[in-house]
Amino acid sequence: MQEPGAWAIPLTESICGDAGLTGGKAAGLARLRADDLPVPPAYILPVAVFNAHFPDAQPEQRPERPTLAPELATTLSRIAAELSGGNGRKLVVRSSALGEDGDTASFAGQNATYYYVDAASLTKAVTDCWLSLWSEPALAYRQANGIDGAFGMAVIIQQMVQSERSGVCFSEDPTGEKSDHALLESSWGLGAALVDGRVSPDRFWVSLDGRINQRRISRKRLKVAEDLRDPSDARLEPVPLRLQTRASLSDVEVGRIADMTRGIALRWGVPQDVEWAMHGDELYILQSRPITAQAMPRTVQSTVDGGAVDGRWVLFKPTAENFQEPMTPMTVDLYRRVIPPFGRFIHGRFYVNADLAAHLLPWSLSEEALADVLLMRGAPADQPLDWRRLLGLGAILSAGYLLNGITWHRTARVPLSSLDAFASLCDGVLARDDLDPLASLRQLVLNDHPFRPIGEFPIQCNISSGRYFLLIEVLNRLLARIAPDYDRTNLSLVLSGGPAMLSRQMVEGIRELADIARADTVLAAAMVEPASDLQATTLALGDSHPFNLALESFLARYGHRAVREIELMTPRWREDNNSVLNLVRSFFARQTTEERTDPHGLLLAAEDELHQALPHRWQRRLTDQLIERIRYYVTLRENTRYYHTMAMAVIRVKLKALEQKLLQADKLKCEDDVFFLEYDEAAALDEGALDWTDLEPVIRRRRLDYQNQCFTRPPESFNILARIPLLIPEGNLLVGDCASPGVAAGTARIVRDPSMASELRAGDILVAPYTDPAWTPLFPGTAAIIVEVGSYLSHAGTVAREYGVPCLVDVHGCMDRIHSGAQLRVNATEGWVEIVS
Amino acid sequence: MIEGLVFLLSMPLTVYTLSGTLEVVDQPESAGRFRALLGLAFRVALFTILTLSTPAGARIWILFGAITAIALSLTGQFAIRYLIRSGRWPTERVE
Repeated sequence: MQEPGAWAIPLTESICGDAGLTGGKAAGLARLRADDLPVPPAYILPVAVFNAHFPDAQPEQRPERPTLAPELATTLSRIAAELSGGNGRKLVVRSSALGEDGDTASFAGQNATYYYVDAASLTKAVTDCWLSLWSEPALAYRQANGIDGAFGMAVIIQQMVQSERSGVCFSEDPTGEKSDHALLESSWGLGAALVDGRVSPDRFWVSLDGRINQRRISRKRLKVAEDLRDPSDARLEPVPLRLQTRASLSDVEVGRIADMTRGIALRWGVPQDVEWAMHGDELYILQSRPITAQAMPRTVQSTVDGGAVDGRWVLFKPTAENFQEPMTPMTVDLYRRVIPPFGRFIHGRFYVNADLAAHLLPWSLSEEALADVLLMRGAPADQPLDWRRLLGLGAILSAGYLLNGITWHRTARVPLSSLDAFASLCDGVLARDDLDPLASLRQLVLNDHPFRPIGEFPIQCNISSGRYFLLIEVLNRLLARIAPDYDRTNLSLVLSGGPAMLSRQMVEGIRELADIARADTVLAAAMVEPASDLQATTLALGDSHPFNLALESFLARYGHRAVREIELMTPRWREDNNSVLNLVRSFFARQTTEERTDPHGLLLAAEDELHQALPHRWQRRLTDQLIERIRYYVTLRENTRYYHTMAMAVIRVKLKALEQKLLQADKLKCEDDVFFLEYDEAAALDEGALDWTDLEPVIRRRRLDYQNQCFTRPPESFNILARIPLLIPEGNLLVGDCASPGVAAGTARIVRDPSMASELRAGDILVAPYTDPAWTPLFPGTAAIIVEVGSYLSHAGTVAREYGVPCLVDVHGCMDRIHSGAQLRVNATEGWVEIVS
Repeated sequence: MIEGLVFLLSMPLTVYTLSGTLEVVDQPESAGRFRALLGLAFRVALFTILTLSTPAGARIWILFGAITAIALSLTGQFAIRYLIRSGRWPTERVE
């Protein structure tokens, strides 16, 4: 063995800055240390030590594990004793390969890093780290990036920071979303969870003048355990509920980290990607490297290359308007087995087949017009009919009627209470241990017996009740003819579903909880204190406290609901009542008992106004009949959502049971990993046909893909030119579609997740990326609602009409262009919003 | 000509009447059931009118239409469910 000049070099030595001797990562750390930045103490085993143990190292030939030179073994013992400080402090062993963290290739996550290393395991960690140079991912990375130069690795042995918070900071936003801003990502615990894609980090965009211009606080459900003994074991533990939705950094801390990152980038002359960690108030820099394309694993283009997908596809609005995040692989895999193939799941979102639709529609539409129709932006008014296609469509509709006409008619007068039959069906399926998740879903969605009571078919009722949209069109045309002077601004209110609507009853449940809290001094104090732990406060009150009794009753009825409830990975309210408590807090802040709106009074006034516009009795009878039908279908459609989400809650329970079984058998390592498998993979894991090592890289890749997709807007279409909605880049006007008419002015409040604490106050204008029923408790008391993705049929519109709140949907760019605190003027009737200041 | 027309008319009327029967079953309350029974009676009356206004020689086509409609309604529902349940008709997933 040819001895190297030195077995280990302290990071403080200037020679460590030579990337040819110590690899790119160690050289970067040495520069940071030389600049007096807070880098934890470390030693470097230079590349020469690697060469001494692997004299003929080639990428093609993976060597055997080497025997360490006695001098190195002695050196490692000394380093371990010095860095652990005699108190058992743990070490981290990191790779620093030649070319790693360079200007063109980062090798991010390709070579190994070992945390929680102690003196006894240091030797093994060092050799493992060297051998990771021959790991499949690292070799594939070299091949993919055309790296065929120097092959060798230095190793960094560093004092480990017991991170309470950690993350990365980019001196320039590499996603391109705000390229003149620094982008900071942060989460609880050790940063490895971020790299694995298991945690959605909080994101902060910091402008050059140090202001935080945008923040996205994510739900951080998992973190690396602080007292982890065995790093190869299940590495993640749940974050306490009260911390999951709380910002992991204060504004001051965000500014401090962003300043430091910008300082490094300025000194080094290249935009930097800095890994940082905090223990208490102490900030540490763990790594800094130039931002390269490869250094941005969590970023993807906002539009995906259409070449990767054949055929023409358009985003299916009814699911896209409920949540922007993609569905997890397990959710997609289960759903795709129970829905007819009129579309396709692409990157976790559902797209409809535009080629098929083009054949079915009776007009010869341009690409833009076709995309408009499929995106529910209204049918073209002046397109000439193609009679041959019309005949074809007639034949298809007739066949459709023969196949589904019975269901269509049966949904015309469904007693709303009869839908409870589906709740019983769900209970029955849940109780049956012989039904696995897939069989349960098939049982609930593809019911075996089409002649069972219609109450057991909420999804069919939901689809059939969409006909109210046609009835509204009929009513509008009728009123235009018989009452041309009638101002139809309040017509939406007349058409609302009324008190039988379960979403509205849910809002009343939240209101009741807020009223009870208002009457209790302890709860009232906790509600107004944003940092208070509501869960702990309510627990301390005891089970028999009126608030807890009412909360229990609320969860018994609505516990199967949640934000993003279509996604099976989402915990339901009964699993995590923190979301409900935050909704109560938000309601508490917006309304006092004196300020509440009276939907029934508004409805009666609107009905009177309509009747006065209709002079003849027959006109009133005819419109009343139409209105009765519309109200019925609106209520039925909204209520069926309450029921069919019960099925999703049942499947989630079954999947979680399977996950528990796999975790206990050590076949899965981390909570929620099961949602990144396909169902057959999970079943094979359960049966022993596959094991963890087969699926770990798959889970890891899918988690990272999922993280990428969460931070991008889904493309509206593939291989078809969708109309870009009118947006004046330099102006202050945004446009959208009216879902509930009216005008309003007020302060904008951006809300990304209704279950998180927000600053929304009475009279504010709610600006949201999307809405689903769990958002509805935020609506009463707001001056107006602006939604980025939605349609007239969406829940935002349906419930906004209930409360007479103006609502504008499909307002492209509103989440980027409008900032919390901006003054807005909204004219939902005409479909625009103006940013006044 | 008349046979074809009668055949085409009897098919939706059969679906309409069948649904009327099931609507009676769907109503848990007696008031709702009475209303559904009235609806069913109306549909049966429509069927009767169609039968009486059809020349005797063509009435067999009403029966053919009814059988076709029942077969399509039932087998159609079952066939679609079977195809999906058996995994023969899965929606594609692009990762």
